[in-house]
Amino acid sequence: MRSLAIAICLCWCAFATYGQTGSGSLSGSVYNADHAPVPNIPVEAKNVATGNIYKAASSTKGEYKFDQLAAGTYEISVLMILYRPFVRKDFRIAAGQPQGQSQHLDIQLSPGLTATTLGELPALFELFSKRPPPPKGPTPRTPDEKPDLSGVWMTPPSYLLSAFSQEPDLQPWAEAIVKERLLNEARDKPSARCLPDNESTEPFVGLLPVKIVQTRGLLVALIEDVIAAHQVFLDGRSHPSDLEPTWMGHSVGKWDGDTLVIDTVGFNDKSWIFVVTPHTGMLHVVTRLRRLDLGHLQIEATYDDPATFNKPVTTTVVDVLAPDEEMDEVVCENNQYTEHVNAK
Amino acid sequence: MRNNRAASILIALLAGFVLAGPGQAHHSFSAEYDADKPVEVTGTVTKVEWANPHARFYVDVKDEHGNVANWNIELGPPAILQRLGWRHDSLKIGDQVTVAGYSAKDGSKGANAKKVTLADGRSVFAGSQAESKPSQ
Repeated sequence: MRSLAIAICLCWCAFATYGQTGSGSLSGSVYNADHAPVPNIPVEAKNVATGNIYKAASSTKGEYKFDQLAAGTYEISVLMILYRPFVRKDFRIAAGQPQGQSQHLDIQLSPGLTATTLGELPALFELFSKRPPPPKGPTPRTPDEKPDLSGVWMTPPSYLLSAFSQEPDLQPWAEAIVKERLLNEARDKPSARCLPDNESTEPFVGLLPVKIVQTRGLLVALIEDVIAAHQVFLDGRSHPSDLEPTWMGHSVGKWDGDTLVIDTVGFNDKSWIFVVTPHTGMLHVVTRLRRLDLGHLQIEATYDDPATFNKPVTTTVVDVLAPDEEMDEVVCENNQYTEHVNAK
Repeated sequence: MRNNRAASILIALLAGFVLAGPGQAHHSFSAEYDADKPVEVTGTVTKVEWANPHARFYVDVKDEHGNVANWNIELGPPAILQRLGWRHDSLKIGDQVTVAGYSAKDGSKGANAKKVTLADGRSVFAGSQAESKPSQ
């Protein structure tokens, strides 16, 4: 009887010791401003002392959990394009939590870089809600039977959001820059100084219309936003061997059946892609243009930059024809943003 | 994951959060304005700048002590506002307006407009011009 009591006591001690380890767990819910759970949100816990970063993602119910975090002080963060940065500093993970219990931190996200202005995307949504549907009909063709991509094209705002909210698998240096840009809410983006943004690498996708003029040997994109135009050579030439880096690079295209495959190299490293992602001069973009019918142009772009991405990224957008539209002049002349931000 | 994220974007849109990805804004709203500091001012339009990338207008606003300050109010791009039917003279110097928006982070007399209302109750630069002038 006495040995049984000792055995029970030993078991209890072992159980109690197991429950009081040098680590703890953290869990909570991720929800939006309407208190609705938000799934698939990457949550990071950074151990301040060691610099180790632990990652979790919210479930379909918006719940996340870190198991076995070493006791210590952590910075809990959510950094995404779609939401304003969430950062909780000096969060203590205590050791010795009873088994099965976890510390709790709920994360409320607010809309990222909100479009509260009377313009930009809200106005674009407004505009698209009132626009007539694109015309129906077969893909028009040139006299030599190639698809004719000419026309004024507009990018539906839903495609803008999906194309530019990419979060590529990045190398550490690029990931660090992305975090910094998300934390300061993209205050230094090139367009703050009237310089090109995403249109550098996506000339056929934009907030404002793009007009394609196609001839047998040349396709020209007239871009209403910031950059005026970009040429795609269809005359069989190759990229020059001594390209100087430029914002939009050098583009040559050739037909693969009914798809125009555009190869672009020679970028500088100044533009930001996917809103906040850096790249190097090694960036290589292959864009496949396919006019699905009279009213729709599919743009599939694959980004490869071995110095930045761990694997290539592909975006797909479908522009709509806007035969009632014409290009406006857009000269970036009064961007007072920089002086406002720099005045802080 | 990507599809789920796209779905969550659409849900956010349907829920009334119209997101302006910084990617297609001409600068970062949140770097310049504070979404947590809504502001409303009423005053007289002194100047309209119909220029890209963002239209602006200026309003003389009088405080309770009678002091007048000139506020710099930012709008969206003329390129889009024009397509909704608005023009450089949709708002005129001397118009009395009430502006609801978000304060500049630098503490200056500046705001990003969310709603601009004329003295007769009509809204300017929101929605299409045709809808905002039903009586005309």
